[in-house]
Amino acid sequence: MNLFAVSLRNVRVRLLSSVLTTVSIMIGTALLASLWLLREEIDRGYKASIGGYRAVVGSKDSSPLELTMSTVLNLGVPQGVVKLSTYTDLHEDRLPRRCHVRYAIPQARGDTYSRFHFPIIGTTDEMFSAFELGGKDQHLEFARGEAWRFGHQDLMRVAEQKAELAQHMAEHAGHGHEGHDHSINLPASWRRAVIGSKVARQLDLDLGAEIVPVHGRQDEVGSHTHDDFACAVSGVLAPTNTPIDRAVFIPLGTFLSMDDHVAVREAEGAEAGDVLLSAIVAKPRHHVGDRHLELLFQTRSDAQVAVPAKEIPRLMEWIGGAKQVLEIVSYLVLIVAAASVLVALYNTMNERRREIAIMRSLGARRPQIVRVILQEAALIALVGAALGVLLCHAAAWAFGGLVEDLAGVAVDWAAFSTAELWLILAVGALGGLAGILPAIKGSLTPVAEHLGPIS
Amino acid sequence: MIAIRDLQKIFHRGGEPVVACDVRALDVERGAHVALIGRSGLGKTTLLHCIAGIARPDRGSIQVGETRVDTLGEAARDRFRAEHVGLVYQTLNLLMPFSALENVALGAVFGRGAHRGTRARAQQLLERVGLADRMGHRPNELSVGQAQRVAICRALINDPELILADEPLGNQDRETGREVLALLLELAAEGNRTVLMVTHDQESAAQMQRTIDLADLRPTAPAAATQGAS
Repeated sequence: MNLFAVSLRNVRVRLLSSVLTTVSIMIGTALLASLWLLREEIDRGYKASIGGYRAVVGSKDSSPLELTMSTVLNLGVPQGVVKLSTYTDLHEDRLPRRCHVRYAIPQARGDTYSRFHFPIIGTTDEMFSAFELGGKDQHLEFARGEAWRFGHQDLMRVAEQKAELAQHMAEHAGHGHEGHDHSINLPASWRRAVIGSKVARQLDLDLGAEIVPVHGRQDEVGSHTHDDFACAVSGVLAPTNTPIDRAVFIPLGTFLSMDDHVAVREAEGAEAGDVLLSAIVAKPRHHVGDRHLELLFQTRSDAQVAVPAKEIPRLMEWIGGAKQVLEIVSYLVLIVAAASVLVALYNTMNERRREIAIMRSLGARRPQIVRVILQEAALIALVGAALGVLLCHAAAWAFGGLVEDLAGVAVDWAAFSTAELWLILAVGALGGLAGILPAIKGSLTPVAEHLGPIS
Repeated sequence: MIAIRDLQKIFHRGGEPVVACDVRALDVERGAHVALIGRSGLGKTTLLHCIAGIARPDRGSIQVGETRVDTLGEAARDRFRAEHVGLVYQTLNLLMPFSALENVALGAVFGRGAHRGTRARAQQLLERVGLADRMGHRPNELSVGQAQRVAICRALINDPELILADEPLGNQDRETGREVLALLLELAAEGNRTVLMVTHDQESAAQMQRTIDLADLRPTAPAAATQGAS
């Protein structure tokens, strides 16, 4: 038996009041901890995501931020397209020396897969052999299976075929060839897909599973499935904790073969036979190559360069404003919760006068009474705060998918941080502070008046 | 053991000073069992509170053993009470959230301080008063007599030299009261403890070694009566 046991028993005796104040503390802490967790995870996720994307070359119809969000974070589809010639200029180092690249990887977007709208990205196999996610030579790793084969040369051949087909169509226009099959020959080896770890996990997909691309987003008006272009899963990527985890990569040749993709591109002003891309992911060789590329493309009319390392902080700054407001609200909720501890304890002081008088008659000093009451307040706050942090992580577990859909990065619900420990201790101290007034009131209880009848 | 001289305690009610307790002289020797009687309003409880250091007299001196209680500050009076005085009340004054055993141990927590042997000592006391099978019960699960025995154990947990009892038998039937008082006096005698008990009951007072009527201690009382009290 000690003073802490006395405090603990007092908390238990006033169970309803204790539970209610604990819940209010828990909600306030959970709100704040959730904001912190989101900020940390989004920040970490975004930073991890931009590693391999030193420069994104895309249409001038999009803003650099839109290009970054669609290409790096898989959020939305960029406006406009870039021509194959822009890609070949980069890939074949036809640009000034300072703009030469370690890799230039073409991407075409617009299709999705499943009700989770996982983006389908048509690209080349350099995405797996050349793309560097983090540092130098840190390529995407496979958890199972392997990459499909569709390289730069294959893309060039597809472009030639498409050009020939277009020329053939033009020469025989009005000669009854409209009903003929104009699609390019699609080898079985191109009907393959590599899926991100989250796609595999969430849809329980493994090697050999069939992916049928959906044009647009499933269940949305105008969407339809590309039933003739089903791709078998040839590889599952290891988790990267970046938007790549929720992507499906198919050979660009397959993507370009889909008739309505040609139609969409032509509707955007392209000439028949043009190979058009959504974006080109590039990594310059020069350490300030991204800046040189940016400057170079400012003088060209065919494309622009977005530098994710510049755009993402801009995005975070934009999000930061809203986050700051929410953070202030969370602090206010916590303060109100602490005030509820004060009010709850203060109100019990009147009914506890006799109890306190008995303790004093047994020899309890005023500081001991203060300590008992402060401990009660701190205990309620500490338990509430600890439960709040757990609630935050439980919410991250439950709603992580929603956050991933909105923010593009996965939230690791099990990522407990030291800051949370400090938060629990700080809220405990705040509870202790809230207990000061009731504690002083309790300690000033006149003993003789509350001990019983006077003879 | 107790030596009181010219003690006066004044309360202010409605702005008017009211003399709650007025004692010219009172001496109680160590180990004595004394009944303090008198009509209501004479200040018997106030006198106990002044001796215990719960209240501070406005005038006069209180000597308990080696300690001049009236000159002590509040914290020192708390310590004095914790170390030297055991209090037993008519209203029992047990703490409801705690079991009988915990109530007794709390006497030590707030008294001399709990230590490894506190629990064993509390158990020993409760066994001594026949409550071995009631240790885990809360006060509201005990009879009045059982609860009063718990209160006596709590008063004894710090091994005090002085036991102050304020109508400890007031809520009990005659038979239970007789048993509880016998137990209190028996336990007090074992440690040569001084007992000062406020009571209105003549039969209880008769069981004490000496009876003092507070009316006889007032400065206005006849000298012979005051002499007899001291």
